[in-house]
Amino acid sequence: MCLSTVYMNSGYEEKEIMKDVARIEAEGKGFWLINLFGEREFIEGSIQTVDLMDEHFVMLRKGKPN
Amino acid sequence: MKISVCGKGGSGKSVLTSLLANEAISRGLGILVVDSDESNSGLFKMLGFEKPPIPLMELIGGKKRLKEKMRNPNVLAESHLSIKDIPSQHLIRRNGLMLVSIGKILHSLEGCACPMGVLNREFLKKLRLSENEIAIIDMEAGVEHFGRGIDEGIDRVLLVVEPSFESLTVAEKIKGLASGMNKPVSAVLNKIDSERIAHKLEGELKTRDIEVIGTIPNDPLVFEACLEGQAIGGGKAFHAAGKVLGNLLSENREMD
Repeated sequence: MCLSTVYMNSGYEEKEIMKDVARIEAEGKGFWLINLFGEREFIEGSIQTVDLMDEHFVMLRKGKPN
Repeated sequence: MKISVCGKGGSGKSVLTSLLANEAISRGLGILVVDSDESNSGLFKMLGFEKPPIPLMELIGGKKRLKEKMRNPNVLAESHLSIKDIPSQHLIRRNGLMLVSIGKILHSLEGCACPMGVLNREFLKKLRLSENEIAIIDMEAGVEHFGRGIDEGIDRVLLVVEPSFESLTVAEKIKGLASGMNKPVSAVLNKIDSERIAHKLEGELKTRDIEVIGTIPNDPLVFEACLEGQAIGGGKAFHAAGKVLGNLLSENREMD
């Protein structure tokens, strides 16, 4: 499934933020997540991992990229 | 009760869906047919409609305007929905029969069908029916819908099996995949010319632990209706579908 689940890795847990995410837009210190049904959420952080092959997920983490 | 009609391509899923829908109407049940086949587009004709409903994909903009429309939440973002929540332009009605369509592949190079898979999965999961309503889902051919989790929201799987080895193989695969999701599975034999073939097919399915709950004979009326794009109704196939629906309803009562 191309649509992805977005998680946030806080360092001690990986929390699901949104399922069926169809679009991610970078803005300032984070990203706008928009799912297929129009729900939107802004989340601060940077991208840790994007898996487009198997589990279709995006892992974000707090803070700036390394 | 939400029934997913599954099987090999060309085994007769849309025909059985139409026969069951007509039979359900004649019993005074509310019947919602969900066209979940993104390739074939003739189900509305088999059900006697002049034109298809606007696909639910259009609620989120269709594949082309998806990004633009996605910015506005719609009814599909709700946690539950009933038939009355489906916007009227996406639900067509005739004599108690209702039809919705998830979406169709329209253009070459338009990209994958994943958004339709998600929409289908969420629609079926969120759909709530009243006691005298049945949803029959005319599923896409094969088994990919199980990988996409589309069948999570349905109550039971109805396999359509025609007399071919390939159809048996797909049936066996579906039985395994559906059982892995704890969905009860039963089969209907289709395009049956003789009792000998029916017994042979039933025996093959029994070895695969699949129960047969009905047999649809090879009916020239169905053949002609499919050839001409006409509504399916009447004839010996229609009467046979009555028994299938009766079995489904009694099995459902037992499950309750």
